[in-house]
Amino acid sequence: MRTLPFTVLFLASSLLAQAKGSVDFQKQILPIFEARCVECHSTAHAGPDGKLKKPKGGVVLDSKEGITGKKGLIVAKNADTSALYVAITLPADDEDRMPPEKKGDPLSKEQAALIKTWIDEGAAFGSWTGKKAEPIAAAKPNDKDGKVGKVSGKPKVDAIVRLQEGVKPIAPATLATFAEGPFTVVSVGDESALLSVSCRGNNDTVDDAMLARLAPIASHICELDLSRTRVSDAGCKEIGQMVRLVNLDLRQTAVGNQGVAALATCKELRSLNLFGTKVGDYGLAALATLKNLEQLYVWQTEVTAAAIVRLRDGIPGLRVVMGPDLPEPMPEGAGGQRRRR
Amino acid sequence: MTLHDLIRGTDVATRRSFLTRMAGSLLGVGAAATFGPAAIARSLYQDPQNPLVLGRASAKHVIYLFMRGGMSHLDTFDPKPGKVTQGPTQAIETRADGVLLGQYFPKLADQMDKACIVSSMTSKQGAHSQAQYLMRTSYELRGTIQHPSLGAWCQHMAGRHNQTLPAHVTIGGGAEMPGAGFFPPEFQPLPIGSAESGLQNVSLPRGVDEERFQRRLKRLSELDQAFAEKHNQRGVQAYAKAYQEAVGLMRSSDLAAFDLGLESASMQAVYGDTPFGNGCLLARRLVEHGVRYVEVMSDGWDTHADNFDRLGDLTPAIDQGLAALIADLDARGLLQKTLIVLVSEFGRTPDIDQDQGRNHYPQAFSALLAGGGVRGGQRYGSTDPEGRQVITEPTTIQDLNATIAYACGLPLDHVLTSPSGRPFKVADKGQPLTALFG
Ligand code: HEC
Repeated sequence: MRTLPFTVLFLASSLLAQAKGSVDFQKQILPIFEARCVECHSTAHAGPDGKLKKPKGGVVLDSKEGITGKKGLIVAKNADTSALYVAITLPADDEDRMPPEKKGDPLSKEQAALIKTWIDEGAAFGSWTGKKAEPIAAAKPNDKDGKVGKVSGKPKVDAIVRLQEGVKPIAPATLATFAEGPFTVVSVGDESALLSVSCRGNNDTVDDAMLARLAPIASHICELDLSRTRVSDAGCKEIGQMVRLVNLDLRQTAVGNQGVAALATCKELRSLNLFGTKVGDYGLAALATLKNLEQLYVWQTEVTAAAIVRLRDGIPGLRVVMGPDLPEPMPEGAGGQRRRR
Repeated sequence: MTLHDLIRGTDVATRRSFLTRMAGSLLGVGAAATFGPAAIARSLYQDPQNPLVLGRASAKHVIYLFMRGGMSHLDTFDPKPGKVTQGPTQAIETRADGVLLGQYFPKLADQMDKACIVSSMTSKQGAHSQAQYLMRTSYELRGTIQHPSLGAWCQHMAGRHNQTLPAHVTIGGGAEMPGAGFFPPEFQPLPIGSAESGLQNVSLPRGVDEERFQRRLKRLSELDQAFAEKHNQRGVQAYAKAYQEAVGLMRSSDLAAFDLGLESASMQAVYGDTPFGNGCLLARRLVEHGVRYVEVMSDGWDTHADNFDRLGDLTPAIDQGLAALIADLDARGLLQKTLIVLVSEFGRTPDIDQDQGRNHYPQAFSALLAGGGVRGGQRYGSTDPEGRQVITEPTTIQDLNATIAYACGLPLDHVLTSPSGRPFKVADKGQPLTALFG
């Protein structure tokens, strides 16, 4: 190292800096696209109404393939002739100005300047490739010691959008039968035909027998919150019928291995909360068929680390939360706001 | 005032004062907010059983942590190591690559893979009450109107998860805040003075058994009816409703949600056993039981003098409580549907004055978000190298509120008209930071 002439080092590092550029696409440019453009310029996908949503003007800004695939959109090292840069710098009243006038203010001068610099520096994307045409569930490992694993809990919108395709809404008369309780039955949002079901605070009265009332809507239930209810293994048979269930919360119920095994038919499950239940390794093993599972909560259960390792081997990207990564208590007397006892 | 007195007071002559005392004590319905002439226009308000059409909600609950007085952004969430504006505060690395925090947050640093800093908050309002009001309501403080706070909007548009518990609770202060604003009194938050003492006086008076209690309730409802017929006022109906709700709550097993005594001593220690830590622990219990919106207040951030010593005193409770809250909610599977927001009404000056103080500074400050669909481990927006001006992604207070509303699935462009006929939206003209999600 020491024998390397200074100039060589200098050259190498300045070349590297150039290749990388000072603007980071993913950190600085992508957020602008995401906030202001992709609403209209994203890879073709099923919209909330189940219809195909195509990118406006054939311009796709949520994948590298899309951005580089359209000729003239970005001309590396020449922002001024790049259609994208031209479109964002047109006068506000020009009808080709992006984002369109009705969608609010133009990009700020700083944002436009950043985009210009990024293009002029060569329009590099780093490791980013963006959305694939076919939505796939993102793997989100959470390595306790490492710095990987950005934790996110966004309901898997892509999954829900796909699941509701072609699903006819439940008849209002059927929905009306739930007005008396104990369940709250609402759309999962955006006027979807799929349903979100919870217990509106009647949790301590909801038991296995009551779950039978959900049978007429079972195929439409996408989110089910039975936390802190009296539901047990027997009730899980009813839940097993819910083929579009994405998010199930059974925390602090008496559900055990038998019940959890009955969930193996809910192939669309993305998030399963078994915190404080009676589940153990046997029940966990039955979940191996749930290839879409992304989040599993098993704190305060009998589940062992070995069973979790086995399950994760079979379901790549599964995040299993075994217990909290709680902070150490404060040392006595630290902090002026500490209460004296 | 206790419930005991209230129930004993059923034959007190002045109904209005009785009702005021009852509701004030039990459900936090302030007298001023209630009998004002404006509180009455019913037609505007939808049946809470029929909430407005909603977007998909990634956050079913919000825990809103408010640092009252103006928290220095440079010493907490937007450090500028090596710059003269940084003063003696050191920056520390966190679990999230490239996201630094001030030295006072070692425990939060271990949770930063689950949290996001918005370092480009900016506003023009540098006076405390005005800025606090703006933060809660998205509108400027005006003499002529009381705007509803975000918690009241949430309850109004999305209803309650738990029909027995209030939708909106404030812990440790905030009674001076607008609350229901021009919405009817049932949208007022339930104030809990201190988390340790929880909800006061909600058991039956000594010597009153269930049968006697029933008799009293019956008598009360007869009185109520006569009174309501005579003075058919919105406010009166609200009180009748408030009373029914109070009785419902008194009998509910959900009452346990308010009792920190049911937590182990070790769990309380993990949250810090400070007023703020206990507030966070209570907020977690309330969310577990289905309360939609909980605000916890921490006071004392107006550090005009001795900023650095003061921060040394103020921050340990916040670091401990917030780190515990994030980790604990995550382990219970609740972080994915609970949005934690930590804000202050403004930041503090980059320049340090001769008293080692920092002064009010709305131009640039920071907020923290975690959970509820927000992607952890990121910093959104930036300030210049000395923390003086926002340079990318300027985010207004309305934008932040729009982001919270967006996470809750609330319709941002839905207009509600105040009793005085003026149009208002949940976050005024704010635009949500959708890039934070997913
Ligand atoms: C409200 C929807 C909407 C938003 C938001 C939007 N666009 Fe567009 N965009 C369109 C439509 C519609 C067209 C097609 C216009 C036409 O064909 O005349 C278009 C076309 C374009 C084109 C092609 C123009 C050309 O020369 O053919 C570019 C480039 C573009 N948009 C970039 C952007 C960028 C960059 C953003 C964000 C800063 C953005 N758009 C935001 C709707 C939108």
